[in-house]
Amino acid sequence: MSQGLDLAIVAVRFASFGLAIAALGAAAFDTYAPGGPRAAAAVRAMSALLALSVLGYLTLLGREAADVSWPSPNDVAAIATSTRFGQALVVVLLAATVQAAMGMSPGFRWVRLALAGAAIAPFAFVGHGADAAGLAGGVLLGLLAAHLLAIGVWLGALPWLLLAVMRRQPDRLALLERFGLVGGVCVLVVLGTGVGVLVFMMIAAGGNLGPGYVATLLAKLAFVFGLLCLAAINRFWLTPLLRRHPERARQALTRSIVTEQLVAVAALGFVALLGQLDPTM
Amino acid sequence: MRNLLLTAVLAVAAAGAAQAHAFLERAEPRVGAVIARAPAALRLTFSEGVETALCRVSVTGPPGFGGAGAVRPAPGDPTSLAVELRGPTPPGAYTVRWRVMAVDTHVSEGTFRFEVRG
Repeated sequence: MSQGLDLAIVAVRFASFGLAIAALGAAAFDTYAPGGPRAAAAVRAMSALLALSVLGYLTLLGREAADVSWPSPNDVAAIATSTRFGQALVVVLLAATVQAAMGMSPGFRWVRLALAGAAIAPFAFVGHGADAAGLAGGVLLGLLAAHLLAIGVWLGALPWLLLAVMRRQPDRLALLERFGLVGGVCVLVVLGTGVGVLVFMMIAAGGNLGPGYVATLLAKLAFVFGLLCLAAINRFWLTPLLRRHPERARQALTRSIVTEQLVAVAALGFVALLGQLDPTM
Repeated sequence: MRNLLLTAVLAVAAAGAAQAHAFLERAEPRVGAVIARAPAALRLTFSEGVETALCRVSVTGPPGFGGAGAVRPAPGDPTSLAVELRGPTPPGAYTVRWRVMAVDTHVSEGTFRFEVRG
């Protein structure tokens, strides 16, 4: 169980990250695109699934720690209470549970956004950031949290943008322009925090990365590069085209956003996998 | 500019990705050491912080060995564990089996030996 790749943990990481990103993106989209599709119901559903996924994550970690096939409640409680990553997962669990139980009134829009943020930022403590200490550790955790929030606001909103484009919403050009602005800021934050995290990682890894790990990292790199290219195409080519050739632009945007989502899912898969790989392998 | 962009793209690819596993960096007594007298406690130091409450260390030794105590954190060092050796510690080969959960959630385990010559 230990040291080898635990596919169940990879799967639950993938589900947890994906649901947290999707919930945050939907909650964010609902604040800057009130003319767009209402996402409150989806945020609730995804938050309920996120809470279940995080429970599964805690259970699998309890199984790992106790080295048993099925952990006892005490094993899971030990993870949840005595480790920093366990406490972070409990924060995610609480935020997602409150979100799932909350009303769907438009008046709760900003509360939903705050809760969705609280359900993704603690993932900074689940992984390399957990080993950080002191001021430098605080900076690393801040960078990771900002990285996660920006990814969520950007990529999690894509399904809602797609819906708006496909439904031929009359205000879709204004909506695309608003998304372009928010998404552009998010991409800059993702790049900026990514550089910061890289600096920490290079110091921590000491250049001791194995070929298997590097190959997986490069595969993720290819998908991330694809994401950035698609985002640039949407923002700088297809959105302006919507003014001149609405139908042509709509079809191209639909294809492009669908592709962007598939690429994002693939990149997320590699993130979930990388987190479980031994960097020296 | 091109280098800056490349660095940025690499950074995004790597962000949050390189999570290390806790490897045994050093032990006291050292791995494979032959020593004249057993120490009062073992100290295991790992390549990253470990969750002491979820770490297990067992020690087996020659007949008459009193066994190992509970795993304790090493004061001021989140990467180290201390395990008391309950006397007596007669001459012979000792095997230490460790299983630790690192602060980044990964579990690793291993074994090493040392010998007390007496």
